[in-house]
Amino acid sequence: MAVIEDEVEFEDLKSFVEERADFLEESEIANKTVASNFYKNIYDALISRGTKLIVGPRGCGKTHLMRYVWLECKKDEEKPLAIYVSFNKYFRLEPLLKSKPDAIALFNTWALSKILLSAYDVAEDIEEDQCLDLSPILLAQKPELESLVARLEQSLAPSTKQESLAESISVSSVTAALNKLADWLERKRVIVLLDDAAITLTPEYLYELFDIVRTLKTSRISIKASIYPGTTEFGPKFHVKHEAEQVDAWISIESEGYLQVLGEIIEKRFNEIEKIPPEIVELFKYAAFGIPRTLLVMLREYIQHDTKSPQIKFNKIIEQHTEFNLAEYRSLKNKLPRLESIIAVGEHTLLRSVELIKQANLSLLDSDLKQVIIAVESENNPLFTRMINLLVELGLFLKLPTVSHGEDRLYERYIPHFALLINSRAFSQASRGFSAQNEAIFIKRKNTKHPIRRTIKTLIGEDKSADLHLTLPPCRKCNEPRINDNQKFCHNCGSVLIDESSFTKCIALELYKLPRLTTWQSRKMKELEAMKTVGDILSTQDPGTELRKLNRVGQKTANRILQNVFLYVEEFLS
Amino acid sequence: MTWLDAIQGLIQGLRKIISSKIESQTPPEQHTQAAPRLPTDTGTPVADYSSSEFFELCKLEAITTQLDTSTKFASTENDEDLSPIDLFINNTIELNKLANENYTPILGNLLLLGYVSAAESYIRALIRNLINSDSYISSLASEKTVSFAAALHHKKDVLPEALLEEFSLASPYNVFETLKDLIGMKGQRPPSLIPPSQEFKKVCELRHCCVHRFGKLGSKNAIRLGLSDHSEFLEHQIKLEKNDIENIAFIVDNFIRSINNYVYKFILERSAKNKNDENSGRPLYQENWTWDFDQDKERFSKYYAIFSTKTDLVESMPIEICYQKFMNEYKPTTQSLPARKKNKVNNPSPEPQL
Repeated sequence: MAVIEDEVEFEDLKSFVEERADFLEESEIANKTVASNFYKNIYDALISRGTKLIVGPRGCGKTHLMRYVWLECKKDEEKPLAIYVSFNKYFRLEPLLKSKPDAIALFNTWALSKILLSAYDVAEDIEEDQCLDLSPILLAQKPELESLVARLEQSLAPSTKQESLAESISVSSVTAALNKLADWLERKRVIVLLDDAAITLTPEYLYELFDIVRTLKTSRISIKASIYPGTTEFGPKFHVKHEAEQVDAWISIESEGYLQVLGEIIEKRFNEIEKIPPEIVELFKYAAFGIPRTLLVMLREYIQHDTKSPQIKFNKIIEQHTEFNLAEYRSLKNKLPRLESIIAVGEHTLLRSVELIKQANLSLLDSDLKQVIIAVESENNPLFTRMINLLVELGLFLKLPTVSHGEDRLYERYIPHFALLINSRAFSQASRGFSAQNEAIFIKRKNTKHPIRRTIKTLIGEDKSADLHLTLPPCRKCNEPRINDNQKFCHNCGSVLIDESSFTKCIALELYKLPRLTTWQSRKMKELEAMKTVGDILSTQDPGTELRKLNRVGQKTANRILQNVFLYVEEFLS
Repeated sequence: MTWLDAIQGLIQGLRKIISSKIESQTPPEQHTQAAPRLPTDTGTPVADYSSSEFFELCKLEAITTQLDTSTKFASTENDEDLSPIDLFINNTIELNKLANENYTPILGNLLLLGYVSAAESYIRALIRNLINSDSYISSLASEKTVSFAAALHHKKDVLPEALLEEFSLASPYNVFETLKDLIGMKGQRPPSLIPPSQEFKKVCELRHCCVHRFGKLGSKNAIRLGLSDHSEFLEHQIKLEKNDIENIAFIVDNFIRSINNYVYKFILERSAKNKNDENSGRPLYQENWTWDFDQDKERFSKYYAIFSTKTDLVESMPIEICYQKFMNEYKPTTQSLPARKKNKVNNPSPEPQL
């Protein structure tokens, strides 16, 4: 039994990996991309001229679409030259902010070097030559750029030898390089696809990145950046309304074609659909809350689950995903230690919203309406806004357009993640037993005319309102609490106030505490002796050997676990 | 109280009432142009101009005591054991403590002067220490002149301070010129020093306003700070809030720490290369690093003592680790040759003589 359980849990992990666009083969991306209008619009935005921000939480398909556009452009000479760059390792440069005065300039060098490296990648593919020396065009040889990027990702400044290369890399030199490359490859224009550009953990770098976006664009070079919802500040120089057009990549659960679009995704990417009852599939579509990756993972888990009862299987998967979502959200406090208290209030707000909706639906049982929307009266409360934005960023709240009620009352409206609503039985209170069909029918009901209206205080409660504050570490020398967020010196002893790098804190996290690990994986990670922390796995020369020391873990399994744990580490550190 | 007192009191009361009535009926512009009023019994000193000369518009008093400056300095040097950076940290901590709940913008202006002064003091202490500890820097300084009084009265170890008496260090440009002149730090300013220098330059301009103009923005300062953003504030009074002073303290602190780390790197790197590019690559120092800690310890410790901090919240890394990292970076590496196949059968050729 234990072996079977292990296998199942392992398969869970595998399916998670398989649904990520970064792990899909190029041929799979080409064949498994949905052609619905919703995605066609995003495709058009990506390939057209002008700066576009592709907005959506993790797993909604931003990477997939960018990679698809990149592939299409690569093989068609008539299309623009597409350069795909991922910034998912940006958090590794966070310690520079705590140690180097020119950290922003170093980040600038890193981001531009990544663009040059991606330009190498596409040129090598087009020319079918993996050893091209394009240094006359792209400022340096590929290995030189790679070692510069690697050094910066270790939070080290360029070495003496690398200094002159680092100095030669600027927005203007990269613009010139991209133009030259387009000339050489005989392409009319260039699109630069900046994936994982929502570098929200380090606003200082986010501002710099969007300054690059602003200055890199020319009539010939168009920039496309994928960001998370909830990110509204891009720095003093980048005014979203003037500089870019935002395109939603997260299909709203409220949109008309919702079920159809997700159905098309299943058709393209999941070939065992006939093994799952249609009413369960439909419920999974709602529970995925517009995130294709979540939907595919849920369906795969359903097939792989060894229990026979559809009800138990369904409930267990929904429960597990609810817990994963919450664990991922909670893990933010490691990355944003100053927001620890706010993050806790956020979880409370989310769960309370779910509960309010559940209660509202109980009173709507005999009608043909449902309630899913929480409306919060707009107030100037930056900490509450920050809290809500974190929930929106992770896709736990879907933000609807703001509505006005009365003369000067505005309401911000949100729908909580449907997996949480389904898990709390917000749509299935009529019957005691499980009926996927009835639950789906309930979900399909029209919304009530008015949402649940609350002020910030009545939503989060009087007692929790007091917790809506920053968590600032006291002075390390005299232990005096800080007065404000921007304080740099202790007002009591005059000593400098030091904030630890949050990346350094994150890599000190014990491996078994990584969000998304299943119980089995967590247990196995605990058994490791030489690799206890996230940092250990990043610095161990051969982590596979360490994993093979575990009971019942062979070389093949060790490598696969390792691949997945690395993936979780990457996810956690991005 | 006699009846006479009572009548006098009554008259005085009536006078007050009448004078207040007259005041209230007088329009304000007439009031300002009116002839000086007679002193009243409200406490205003009685003006008596009989003994005033025509130019004595300011009230003066006789100087009856003299400021004895010779007693205003500590009798012993109390910073002998502190590195320049520790001295700087201690000085700024004292200033930081002043920015408390009694803060006023005028105090802010004075604090600004204090921070820049702490920075200047650091540079002076650094150069003094380096001249005393580094033979090459000492040789560079030997061509410079100091005043006769300094040569005569200074202790040997503080004599280098006299070199800097003519130098103003209140701008990054001056700091770098001084470092170039006295410790031979030539070449382009490294990228890591550019952001701290740019910010420090702004602080120095503000300092200039505070030192010479009681905080008013002068035209030269406005030009250096950027005329387009500052021209409308010419001759306007500076107003530094508490958080501005924190920011200024941070900038000065950051600049000095950056200089500390960079000069340390520069000097160690130069000592490891040990080549005078301006003198056909001849050695700058008589001794080379042996890359053995025990042997190099004495020499390395001198540099470590100048640049490391014990008083900062985060102490410098221990000397052993520091040396190890220095060695990893600069110890010359010899490329290892492939292993010889000594036991080759049928290989009659003799081993080459090395």
